[in-house]
Amino acid sequence: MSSKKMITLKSSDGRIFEVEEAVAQESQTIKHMIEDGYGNSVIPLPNVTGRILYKIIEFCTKHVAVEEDIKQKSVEPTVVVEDVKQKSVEPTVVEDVKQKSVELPVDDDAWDAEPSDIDEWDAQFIDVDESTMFELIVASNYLNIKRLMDLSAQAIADMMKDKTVEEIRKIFNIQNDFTPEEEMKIRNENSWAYE
Amino acid sequence: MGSDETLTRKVSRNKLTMCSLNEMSSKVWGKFPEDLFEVVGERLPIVTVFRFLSVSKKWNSMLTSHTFRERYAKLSITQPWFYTITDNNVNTAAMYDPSSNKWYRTKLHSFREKLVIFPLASVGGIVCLTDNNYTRLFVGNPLTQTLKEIPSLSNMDWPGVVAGMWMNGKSLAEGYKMLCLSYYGQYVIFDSIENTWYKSGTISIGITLPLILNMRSQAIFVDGYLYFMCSIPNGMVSYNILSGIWNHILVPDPYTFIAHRFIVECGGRIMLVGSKVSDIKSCASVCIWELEKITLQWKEVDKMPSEWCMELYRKNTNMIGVGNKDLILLWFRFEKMNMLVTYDVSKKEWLQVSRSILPRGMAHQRIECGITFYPCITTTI
Repeated sequence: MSSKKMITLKSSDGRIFEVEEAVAQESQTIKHMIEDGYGNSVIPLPNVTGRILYKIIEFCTKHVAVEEDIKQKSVEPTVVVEDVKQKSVEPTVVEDVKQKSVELPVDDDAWDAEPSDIDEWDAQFIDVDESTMFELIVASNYLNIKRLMDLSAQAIADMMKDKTVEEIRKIFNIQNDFTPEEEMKIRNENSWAYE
Repeated sequence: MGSDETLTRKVSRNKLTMCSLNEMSSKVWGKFPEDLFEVVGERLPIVTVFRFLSVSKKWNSMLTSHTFRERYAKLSITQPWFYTITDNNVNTAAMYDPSSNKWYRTKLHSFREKLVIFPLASVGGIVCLTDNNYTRLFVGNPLTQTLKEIPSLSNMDWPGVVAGMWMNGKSLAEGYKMLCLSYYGQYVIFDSIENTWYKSGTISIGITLPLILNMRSQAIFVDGYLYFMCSIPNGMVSYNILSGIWNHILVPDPYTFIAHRFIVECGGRIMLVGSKVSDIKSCASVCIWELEKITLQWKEVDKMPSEWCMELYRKNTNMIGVGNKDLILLWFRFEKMNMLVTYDVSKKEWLQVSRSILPRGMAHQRIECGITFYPCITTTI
């Protein structure tokens, strides 16, 4: 099955990932690099940690599979993981670093899912802690993966939508630069939104 | 009073709750890149966008910028809302957002003078309101709580007027028109671009005048036709905006036990809401019919659950109905109670909306009239 071209990516913390070209090209940034001729060497991604890159690859692999309408029972994306200089622990299970191909530890059901269940898969995918959410949107912006950007932006919007103005200022460390009069005026104009 | 259960709305696919946590700590988000705020902002519900206008000057300028608003309007899946005036509240209206099941109280205007006005018609994010004598007309945007007076129909001495509005193009930026129809069959049309009334005439079809217009049923605009509900002649009169030709369409006329029938538009479908009492078994029900546009025949689509109907039967109930893309919203008022019911046209689901979600003080108010309106962030009046 490995007649597909593989692309090698390197995260900021030195971890190496080998992915199919189609999966890598979900990122417009990587796609342009491939088109510019860097597809045959290791592509460094200094702005993305190994932990997040792993998640992103999981996302892209899933979506490529769904698009290609693959309905195999067990899709095994081949990922080669080599620890170059590694201290941090991979959150998911990687049995043997020396293994040539490692299965991504997802349950079969996820891969069996019909395309119409992709929304549920996405919802579960993005159900992560705040730090991961933050890193995902930043990384997907850097890597220019629209689908993941939209998904994480929506998730963040959902977290924010019922917050008060004071809470938002606190969360995002924003200084209120309105005078009390100015702020009162705006609040009055839109009083309905504050109920 | 009957079962006051709040039935949970089935969450549509687009709105799967993606994140089970709601805690946002400044340790994480304090360093959120500014250029990503817009991407997130585009996905906030419209009420949140308006609330965050007071966060800071930078946020205000981002959320009011033309580019942001255009992108928001394009991306937005804001469902149409309902706009109502409650009695005893000269200056207050209330808006209902079906997708979040929330009510918002909104100021009608900030004028100094005391105005008693009520909605006549709406198009896009604009609502047209008039005073009791139809001597003054206003257009307003409920989201910005702004109101502006338009030239009045001062030449007319009309006892009653209904109005229908339509956009010239795809958006309000291209302007809109409004047709006002009176009991005497007279009509005039207003052009928002020229800010003037430019065409007038009398209904030409051979029907006896005066008309008895259904003042509470909002006119609907579908495929180039305006439809108004009437008691006399029984049915609807329609106006073709291109040809200027009027027509009369019959509606089913069963015995009614609840005052008023309504025509509503649901995603291009023309529906009629009314009540009927079946002859033999005397089974009272609130029914929905749909007009088949080719044959101009009405087909019964659904009936409200009979337990709810029985609550209303013989109780001198008033009903108001409005419709939008997928939803028909019905208010029933009887014996000082409000019952709010929605019917999802595509899913064929009836839901009783809990009274407890009305804003404070609203539960006992009479909702005088209501119209559909499409909240739009780019609307200006």
